[in-house]
Amino acid sequence: MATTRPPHRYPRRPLLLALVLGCLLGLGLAWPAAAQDQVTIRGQVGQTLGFFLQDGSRSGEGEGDPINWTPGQVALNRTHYQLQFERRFGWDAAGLISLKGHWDAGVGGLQDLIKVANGDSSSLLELDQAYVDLYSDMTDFRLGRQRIAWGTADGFNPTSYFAPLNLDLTGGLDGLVQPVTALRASTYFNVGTLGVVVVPTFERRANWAEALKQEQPEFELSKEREPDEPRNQGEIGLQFDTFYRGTSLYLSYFNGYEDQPVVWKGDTGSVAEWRREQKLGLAAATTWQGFTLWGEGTYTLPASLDTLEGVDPSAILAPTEPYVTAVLGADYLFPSGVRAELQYLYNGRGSLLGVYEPSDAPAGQYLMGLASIPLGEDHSLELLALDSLRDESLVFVPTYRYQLTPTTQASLSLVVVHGSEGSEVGEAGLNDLDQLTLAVTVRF
Amino acid sequence: MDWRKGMAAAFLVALAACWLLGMAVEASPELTGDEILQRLQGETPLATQQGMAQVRLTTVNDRGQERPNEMRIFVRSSSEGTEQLLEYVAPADVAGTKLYTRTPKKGDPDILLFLPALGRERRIAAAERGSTFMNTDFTYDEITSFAHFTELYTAERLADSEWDGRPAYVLRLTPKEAGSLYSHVVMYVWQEEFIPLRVDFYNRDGVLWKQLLNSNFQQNPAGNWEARRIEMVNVVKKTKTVIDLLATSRTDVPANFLRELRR
Repeated sequence: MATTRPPHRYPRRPLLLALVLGCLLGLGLAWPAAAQDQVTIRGQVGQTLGFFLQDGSRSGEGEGDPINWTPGQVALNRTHYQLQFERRFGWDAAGLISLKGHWDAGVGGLQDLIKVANGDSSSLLELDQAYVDLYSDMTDFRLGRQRIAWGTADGFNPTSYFAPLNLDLTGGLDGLVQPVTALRASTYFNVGTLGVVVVPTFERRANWAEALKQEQPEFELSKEREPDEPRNQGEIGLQFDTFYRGTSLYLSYFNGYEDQPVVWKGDTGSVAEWRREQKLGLAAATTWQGFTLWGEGTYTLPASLDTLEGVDPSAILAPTEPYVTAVLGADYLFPSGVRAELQYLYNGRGSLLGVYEPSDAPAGQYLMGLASIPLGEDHSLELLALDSLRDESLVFVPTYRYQLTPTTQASLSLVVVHGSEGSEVGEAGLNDLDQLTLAVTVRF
Repeated sequence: MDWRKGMAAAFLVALAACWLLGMAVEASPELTGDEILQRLQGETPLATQQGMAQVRLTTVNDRGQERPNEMRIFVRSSSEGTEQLLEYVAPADVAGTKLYTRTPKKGDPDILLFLPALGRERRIAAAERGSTFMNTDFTYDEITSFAHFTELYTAERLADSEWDGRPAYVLRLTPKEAGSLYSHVVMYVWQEEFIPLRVDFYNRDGVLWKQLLNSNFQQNPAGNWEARRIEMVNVVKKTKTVIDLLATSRTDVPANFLRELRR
């Protein structure tokens, strides 16, 4: 699964981020801290070691020998770290800076696949989040690079509009939402809360060109055919949420861009263009008889492009008609402490595991199961499974966790991928990437 | 972080409520067991109170290893019900985790858990009443029972005694429902202040299972007594959860709890 991890995204507006950092630090210097408003410093450092569990191979980049691997070969040897500074300034303001990075200590199989040398895939220090919060009488403002997670479902949130979905399940369901540079305002009324998000420059899926090349090689774009940047790159999202009879309700609207450009076969080869879309969303969560129940869905209207008129739908790698995306889920905590969760996912756009599919591709439908089983005071077993109802594709990630100390955790994970070459996982290039992963993480 | 850990927080909210109250009530030797229980809850109601308590919760396992957590608990009540917000302050790896509970006068509570890593709140169901919270010695039953003692138990007054040098009413509480985890509960109530000093929980076999001990009583600026240390000792498992009250305030409370949850 690790190959689905998008390359690290570098800030698109370094000056803006520098300004945010400056503001944050300035606030820190100018504002006297109350006793409870000290800077909180937290972070983590860890090492992950992955091994292939089966034979596999890939053809080279057009020339050279194919890349082969065998069971036991190191797939990943990564040191990762994160450092976060957070401070509250009473009831008036707050700020956060989060930095992260990783170092690939040796060329593993996965690095071989993307043709990098030792260390080339490392990102030694990268800005994760940096924002300031300002609180007025009725409205909270957050400005800067931030995670904006809307919705009620676990992991796959159709109403989290502002950043591409990261489907790297090896890290669990937390942190799948990527940060985006935005201004967010939340205004609190008696009847509910109105949230407004303005994104000056939309976030692109970082690896869309590589995904296109891998998933639809006949549509590969030459450098000179890459899409023009839109003049107005802004996005806006609105959300109103309220409680109604024990149920949380969230109604939302989005006007922005798709995560990757539309690609189609033109008369002279492949053509790509960024396309706007509008989404209407509804999410809800409630409890019943000890169960937590949630549902979340969107209705997406892609903008029509004049350039697509007359093009055969099968030659367009994006939906051309409105489509629905939805998730229904429930979880339950048993008296034994076992927590079980089940979600049904419907993606009218097509496969969740892929980026590019023809416009007439069938909807992706999945069952996702999650179980957390305490084995003792310091031991637990987590089972995560994603089963495609469209074909036989199955991803299964059991993880054993051992809490060595209150701050140190070791884990042993299996990533088992089942599916033929023509299945969803096969087309996404995941079906021969079974791995065993050892990880140790220290949090502070 | 396991969301059940968040549920443990709800218990702390109940305890904090006790701390935030601490109102002295005139004692009467003619009081019945139910009247004493009623005084405990009825004349020191959460419903008219608000405040903040900062506490340190330390779990001690059977090997003596300690895991400390520090948190702030906000409570506010109105005619519509009670709102509670718990925020983990330390250790840093869980700091920022918040649990919001809104308990209406009638109906089930709304419980929302905010996890910083998730970046949004998550609605959760009340846990199984018999389940224990991760790394604590409390059950969900004990959380709710502190808020609804009079609803869950009938009280029989036993002979007065004393605990920790304080004169105490002694009550034998019998569960009204057959499904209770306990055959009975024995509670020592400080006669002058109507504050529980000690609570013994007996399992269905009538064996002492757990003990709740309040100690380190101090008067707050309003002159009310507060137990600044609460211990729950699991006699069977030989584990312990200790809660120390670090600070209280009746004014340092956010205007909008839901808003604070999302910050």
